[in-house]
Amino acid sequence: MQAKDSVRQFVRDALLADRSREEIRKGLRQAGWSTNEIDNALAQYARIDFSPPIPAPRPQFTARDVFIYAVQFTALAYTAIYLINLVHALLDLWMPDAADFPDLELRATMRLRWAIATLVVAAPVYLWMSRFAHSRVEKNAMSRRSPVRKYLTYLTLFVTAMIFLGDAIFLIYGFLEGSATLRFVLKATTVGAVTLAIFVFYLRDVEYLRGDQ
Amino acid sequence: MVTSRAFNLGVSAAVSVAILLGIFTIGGPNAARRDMFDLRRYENLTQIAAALHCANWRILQPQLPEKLDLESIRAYCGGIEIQADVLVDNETNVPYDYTRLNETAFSVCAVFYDAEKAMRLNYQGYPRWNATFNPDTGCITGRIR
Repeated sequence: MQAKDSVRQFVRDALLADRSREEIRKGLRQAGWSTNEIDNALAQYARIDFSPPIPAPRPQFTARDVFIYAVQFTALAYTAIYLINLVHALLDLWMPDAADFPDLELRATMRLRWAIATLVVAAPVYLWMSRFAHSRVEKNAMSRRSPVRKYLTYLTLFVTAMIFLGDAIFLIYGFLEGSATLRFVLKATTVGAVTLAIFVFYLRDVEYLRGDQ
Repeated sequence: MVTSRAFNLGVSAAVSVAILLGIFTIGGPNAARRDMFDLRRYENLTQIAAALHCANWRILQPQLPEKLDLESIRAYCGGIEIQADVLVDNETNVPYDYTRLNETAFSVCAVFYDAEKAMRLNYQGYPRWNATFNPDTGCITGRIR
């Protein structure tokens, strides 16, 4: 029997023995179980006065959730990438550098058009899916605990954190290499600002979800 | 959740401003189409200059043609071929303005919307084959030896 199962069995037995949730929590904490493990074990049973304890409904891994959140997070990735790309292309056109290759203007113009085209499609899809997912969560508490949403949110946090750190490293390297022009700094700042905004927003979202459990 | 609304508002604002700045900087579809035609003009002039340069000029000792058409180009440099649409403006269908300056020098001109931009945007860089492009006149002038 796994540790998870043993604590679940203990919670069931304790509830059957009419022990309050606070007493169970206190006992488990004294025994060395973490808050997270205790919360998870207690969340296995519905908060209603019934004997034997009724198992709480568990969040399901549904194909519908996979579709909704995969589309939403993919649209978010496209929106972030092409927003950065668009700003970088604008900076290339506005602040030409003497060290640029001769075809930079053409490449920047093409990148800019491609970024506009992508944003016109991806940004509304993200906003619409985000609103749709949010309204589902508001209506149904189970949707809030969707494992797909949870994993994709943590994946987003991981990716944005890695990009943000990589951006900081790139910025320092640029300074050391002597290539830190104003355009370079503005480009790095754009990457940092976009990834930080996404990271902070989804970190708050995670905290919101944790507070709900 | 207020934060979600604020984030979505921020995304909408950032994307809208970026798109508007982008369109303001590079122009809309009409400007893009004008750039495309100018690029074709520039490429055509470069191709014509390459054909007139005649790689085998030491052996063939060609004389520059009086006028620019498929027949005269073919006869000029040992049967060298050029696409018919290279000789005319793709937008107006008007043949490019060719002038034989002397036995070894020529100029080919086109009417550009923005010749300097076309030169800057061109993939292949500046013309070669003893030819130079003047964005003020929209002409490539070259010599064959």
